[in-house]
Formats: sequence, C-alpha cells, structure tokens
Amino acid sequence: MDDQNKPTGPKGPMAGSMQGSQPHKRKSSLTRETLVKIGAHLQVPYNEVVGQGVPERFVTLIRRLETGEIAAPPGDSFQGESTSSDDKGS
Amino acid sequence: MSPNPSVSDAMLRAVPSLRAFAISLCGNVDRADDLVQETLLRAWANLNSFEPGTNMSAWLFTILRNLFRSEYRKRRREVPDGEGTYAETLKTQPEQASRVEFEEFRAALGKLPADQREALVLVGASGFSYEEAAGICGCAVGTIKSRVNRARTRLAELMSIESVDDFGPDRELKAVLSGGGSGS
Repeated sequence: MDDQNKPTGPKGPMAGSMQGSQPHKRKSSLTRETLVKIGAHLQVPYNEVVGQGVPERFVTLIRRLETGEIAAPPGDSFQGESTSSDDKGS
Repeated sequence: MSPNPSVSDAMLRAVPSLRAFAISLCGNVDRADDLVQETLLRAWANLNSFEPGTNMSAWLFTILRNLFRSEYRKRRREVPDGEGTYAETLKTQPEQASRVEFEEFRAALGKLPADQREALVLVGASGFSYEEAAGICGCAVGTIKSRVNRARTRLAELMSIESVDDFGPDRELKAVLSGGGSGS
C-alpha cells in the first residue's frame, strides 16, 4: 500500500465533531502580548545577573588556569558536546 | 595546557550568562557560582573536545546543565527551590506596582517542572534558538518547543492570565474599582 492509499482518519463535514478526532494540534491560546510579557518577566532577573558582569573569582580562576598555577580535573568525566552555530547567549 | 587567549576570553565572556542560567537551575547564588566554577574547570580540562568555530557559550551551557543534572541525581533530597530562583539575585527590586506581579510570576515559575523551566529560560531569557536549546538539553527540537509552550501556558494558568490586561497595575486597579481588593 502506498502512502496515497493509507487511511488518514475521519474526513468530511462531521469529522471535526467526532469524538477523539483532533486533526490539528492544539495551539496555544496565549496572545502575542502575553508571550511578550512572560518573556519580559523572564529577562528582568536574568539580565540583572548578566549585568553584574564577571565576578573576580572567575577572572582569577581563568588566569590561574592559564598560568598553570592550578590544574583542571581529569577530563575523563566530561559530559558536554560542542554545538554548531555562532557564539550566542552571553 | 595553555590555550589560545581568545578561548580564555570567550569563556570569561560566557560567565555572566552561565551564572544567570545556573541560578535559574539552583535557586541559590552561592551554589550557582560553585557550579559555574566547576563548569569552567571541566571545560578547561576538555578543551581538546571543543571544536573551534562552534558555539563556545552553548558548549559551556551543556557542560553546566549536565553537571547540574549529575549533582541533582546525587542530591535527590535537595530539591532545588525554584521559588528563590531569580528575585533573590536582584539588587534593584521592581517598582511597587509591578512587584506583586513579579512575585506571582516568580512563584509560578518555581512550580514548573524542571525540564520546562530549563527550556523556557534557555529560549526565553538566554536567547538560544530552539535548535541550540535542544543541543544543550540533549533532546529533540520538537521536545524543546513542546516544553517551552507548555511552560508558557502553565505560567499563564498559574497567574490566571487570560489577556494582557491581566498584567500590571490595571489588574490592581480593576480589583479596587470592583471592590474586591487585590490583597497587596
């Protein structure tokens, strides 16, 4: 059976009223304005932290790593993977 | 190991966002800073795994997120309190009119499942694309989209948002005008 002959579920004028028939995914009923507001609420505290800049302890840490003053732990427990695309999010 | 200085600089540039994300996960600034430090140490030890030209920030976020998950599994009894996620870090509190609204939002955010909150913060605050967030979380793009959508919908439900008019001073004003008060 090719794809064109496969049953595709209820059709016709009554299909929408049939129990269990959901031909389309349920879309969010949130308005764009509401989404913008939620985004703004998320970003206020996030940006507040970002605005604090780089605490001195991390600058010191990187410099000490650079000079070999401290050694990073063995890398065998590494759990990350690099991802493509440009640098973002900082 | 002595990497290119630009790598060190890129790592430092990512620190502010890493801290903000870590705080959203931990709900505790001190613990979040320890998590960021551990992330930088792990990243440094594995710099040979990083592909130059790819997204350093997303790479660091992935390490941080996985470290947190690993730590979280070890400390199942210490459920991270989303309640303290953001507002405790604020130096400047929102104006009185919006403070109540902000507190409601903060409480609602804390009630979200961790995976939804994580996805929402990555996309809605950190500025990552759905694809990048999926890479960081190690799941499908559709899963991230679903989590973000469910998180937004749940937030709106928890805050009883039916329209944009339900936000902000208007709601307080309406409550007063209708004689119901807002309890604030």
